[in-house]
Amino acid sequence: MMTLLLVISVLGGLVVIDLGVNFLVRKQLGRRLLKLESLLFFGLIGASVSFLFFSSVPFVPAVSLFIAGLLVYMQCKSIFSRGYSIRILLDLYSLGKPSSMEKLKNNYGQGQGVKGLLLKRFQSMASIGLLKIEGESLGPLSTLGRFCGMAGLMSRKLLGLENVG
Amino acid sequence: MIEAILGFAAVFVVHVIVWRIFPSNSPRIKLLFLVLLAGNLITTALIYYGFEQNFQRAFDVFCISVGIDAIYLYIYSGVCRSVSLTLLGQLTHTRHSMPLKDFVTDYEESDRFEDRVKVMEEAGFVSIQGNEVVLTFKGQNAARWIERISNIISGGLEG
Repeated sequence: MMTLLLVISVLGGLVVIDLGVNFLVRKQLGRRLLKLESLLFFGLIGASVSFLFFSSVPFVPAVSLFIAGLLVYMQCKSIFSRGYSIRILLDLYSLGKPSSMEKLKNNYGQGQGVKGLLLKRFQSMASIGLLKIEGESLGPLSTLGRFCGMAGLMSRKLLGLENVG
Repeated sequence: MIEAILGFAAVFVVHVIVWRIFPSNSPRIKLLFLVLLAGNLITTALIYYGFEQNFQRAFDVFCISVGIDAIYLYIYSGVCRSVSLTLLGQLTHTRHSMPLKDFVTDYEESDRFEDRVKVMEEAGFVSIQGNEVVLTFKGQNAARWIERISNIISGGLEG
């Protein structure tokens, strides 16, 4: 129980600090500074893991629970900032009336459309070194990008997931 | 730790067999979660009763299993839903650059967007009536909450 309580406290602290700093950065600077936010976030994770290491609870079970909670938080952050399906839901909500599938697709993301949806993904992948972008020319993939692409294709084949994503 | 890894390995084999025998483009994340949870509880129970009801050992195995399950669920959600992974997969087949418009055309001609809307229909958030997509009452409530939460977490949902 001590392990669980400690992990919940550490995770809670991390989430509050992360949300608070992100909010302040956006409010003061008026934009998202992705690199700064990422650095801070990894710093917080490092501090949390170190704290658990030097605490009196068994380290491996504690850090396993911490990782589980952290991944839940990261997934929520990802969904609520970049979620594809819930963006479609919000588009429909802001329209205030039913929409055709075609119109919904063309107006995806408050007018970005499919082009905006894909370009944003490509820009994110380029920022972490998976591929090159020059104007509207995409690729080639880096070695890491090729590895991730192959791993993704093989995983989908293994699980029988054909037309997803 | 080894018990948790072995427990997960057994569940993973069952998961792959079931997914291959009953393929679907629906992510089935809830089902996977239940399968992983069942595996976790079985492993923990086996450890508890196999080691003279040693609660601490069973709890440690449970915690490690939770960590492994969470990592797998995180990876799986990317594998089954990630648009980026789809795009990477398409670029994997070529060693050259490709124009964005090719990807846009390919994506627009596929039914990936429609599949997303159908999954939301199955979850009760929208209703597809002919060619029209209608937000249900559940969908309206969800959208309201999503807007509030995304404003707090990220200043808005970019998509």
